[in-house]
Amino acid sequence: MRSFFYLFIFIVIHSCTSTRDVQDSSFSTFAQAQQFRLAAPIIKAEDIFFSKKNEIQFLLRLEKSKIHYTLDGSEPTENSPLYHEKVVLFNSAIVKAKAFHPECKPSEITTKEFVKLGKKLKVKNISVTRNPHKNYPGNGVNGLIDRKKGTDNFRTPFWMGFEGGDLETIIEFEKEESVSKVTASLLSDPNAWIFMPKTMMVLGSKDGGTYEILNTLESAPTPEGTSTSLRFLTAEFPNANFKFIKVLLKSFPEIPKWHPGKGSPPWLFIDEIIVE
Amino acid sequence: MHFLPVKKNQALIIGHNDHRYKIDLNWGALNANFYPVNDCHEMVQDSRGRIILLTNHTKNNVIIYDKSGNLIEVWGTEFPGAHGLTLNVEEGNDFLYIADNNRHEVIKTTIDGKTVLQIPYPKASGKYEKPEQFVPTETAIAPNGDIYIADGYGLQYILHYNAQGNLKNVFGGRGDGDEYFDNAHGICYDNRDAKNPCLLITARQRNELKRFSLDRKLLEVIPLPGAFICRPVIHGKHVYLATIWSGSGSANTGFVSILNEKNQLVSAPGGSTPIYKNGKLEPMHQTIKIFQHPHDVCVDDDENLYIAQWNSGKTYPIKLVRV
Repeated sequence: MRSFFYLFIFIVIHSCTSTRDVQDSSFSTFAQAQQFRLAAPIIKAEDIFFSKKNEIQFLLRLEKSKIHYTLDGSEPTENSPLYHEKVVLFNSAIVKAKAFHPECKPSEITTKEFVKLGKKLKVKNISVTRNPHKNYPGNGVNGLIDRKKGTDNFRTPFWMGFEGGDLETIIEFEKEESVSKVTASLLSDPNAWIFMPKTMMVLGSKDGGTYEILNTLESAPTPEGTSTSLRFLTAEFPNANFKFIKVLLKSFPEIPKWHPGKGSPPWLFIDEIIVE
Repeated sequence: MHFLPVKKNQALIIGHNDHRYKIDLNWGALNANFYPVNDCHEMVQDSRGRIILLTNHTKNNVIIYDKSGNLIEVWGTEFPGAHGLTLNVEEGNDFLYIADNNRHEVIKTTIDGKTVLQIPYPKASGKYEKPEQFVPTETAIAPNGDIYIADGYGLQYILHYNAQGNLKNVFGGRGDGDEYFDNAHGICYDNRDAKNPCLLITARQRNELKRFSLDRKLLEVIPLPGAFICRPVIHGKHVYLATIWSGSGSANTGFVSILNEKNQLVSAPGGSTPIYKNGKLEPMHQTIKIFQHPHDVCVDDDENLYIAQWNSGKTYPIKLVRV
């Protein structure tokens, strides 16, 4: 009789636990593993620009997550190098990182371009043909040659913002310099109506009066789904001596059709012009 | 033959240390044709255990649920800028304080929506010239009934009234020092140390929580780098703060911050593991894309959380069930 009682108790307890199990698994209102995407990892470094070497770190700070990365601009996969300690760059590189986690969808890819720079040329004067929007004055026109890079937040004070139209910048060196490369450092942030310019034209002059065209870059319109990123446009040309360099950035006349701001003028955000 | 790396029906668990949660995305979802929301700004639990949501949709500014997310009732059509929601029990009755940043005033109502007090722009302070400068975001009520209003989208002052709505004091405002504010978005009355009650006020753009004595002296600045905190909510010994953006402040990067009795971040559901190095919190950021723009946390009597979100596709709140 006693053993029957124990058996009875056992059955009751067991049925209780199994009922709870069933309830728990059928309680599908809770979000499940694999339902959410990881946030994109952060690529951290002292600066975007460097002269000799640059130490970079990747981080997400989430238990069980892993970060894989590439340094050649290719898309990282789980077969790409796994990050565990800092990576040292000795040359310019397009760095990409992606986070993985057993219970989440892999992240979007974070891309950051690091640029190795030659020696800084001595600038006598820099001017822009129009003032930036009062809300986005940057660090003034000299901020364009301070070799300090803005973050991907357009509200940070590194960025000069211009609503539509063209931007012409003239840099005068203290003396004639041998020049072969001009890089414009820009922000692409379609969510904030900030787009890459349609063309970048670089001109050179010895006297500040007559300019010759050194190179013209054309960009394709920004495709739908483009995420925020720091971008560089680099115009290269045969070495020549100039005292004046003019950089002309022309925005697209309108924001692309896929965007809620279609038809309006796009914003142009610039934080640096580098002449080498 | 299927190979699944993860067990089926495995609920994702988020958060850190003792504050870990399962996520109920379906909680409180209603037919938007009948009970629409715009921004879900704030939530509180009333004395009857009901969960009260404030939205700036004027078809139903106040939506009242049970804890399971079943609709009980709705009211309110006259709060186009419904933003801050604070509940206070006065002589056994629940009252709501609604900060409306479109009407430029704070409205006190009964729990079923009858207006009993309106506090317009604080002309008597001498700081304001017109109602439009007053864009209140939050209220806090002291045990004696005094009302504190944070002008978080206006001139950044903290305005101290008596229970009848007469102005007693003003402090804060815009400025560079620690005692000033940049988006004084949220305020609460902190009586965790019963002998030394104080005010907790967020400076959202500065990623800081500030502690003030009741006589308006700055006691402490609690930096939460990378966390754009909306309003402090005290439950037990902890402070809960919806964090609308993180990192450098880009869109859809929110999470939830939970501080312990020492005001240290101990859990960040949806955010990075909190780490203190030499007593300083490492910058915080989102890690899993669950939340878009959390705007308030309501903690119920079971210590479950309800997360109301701003500008998040007109979605209803998300419930986090503590595990």
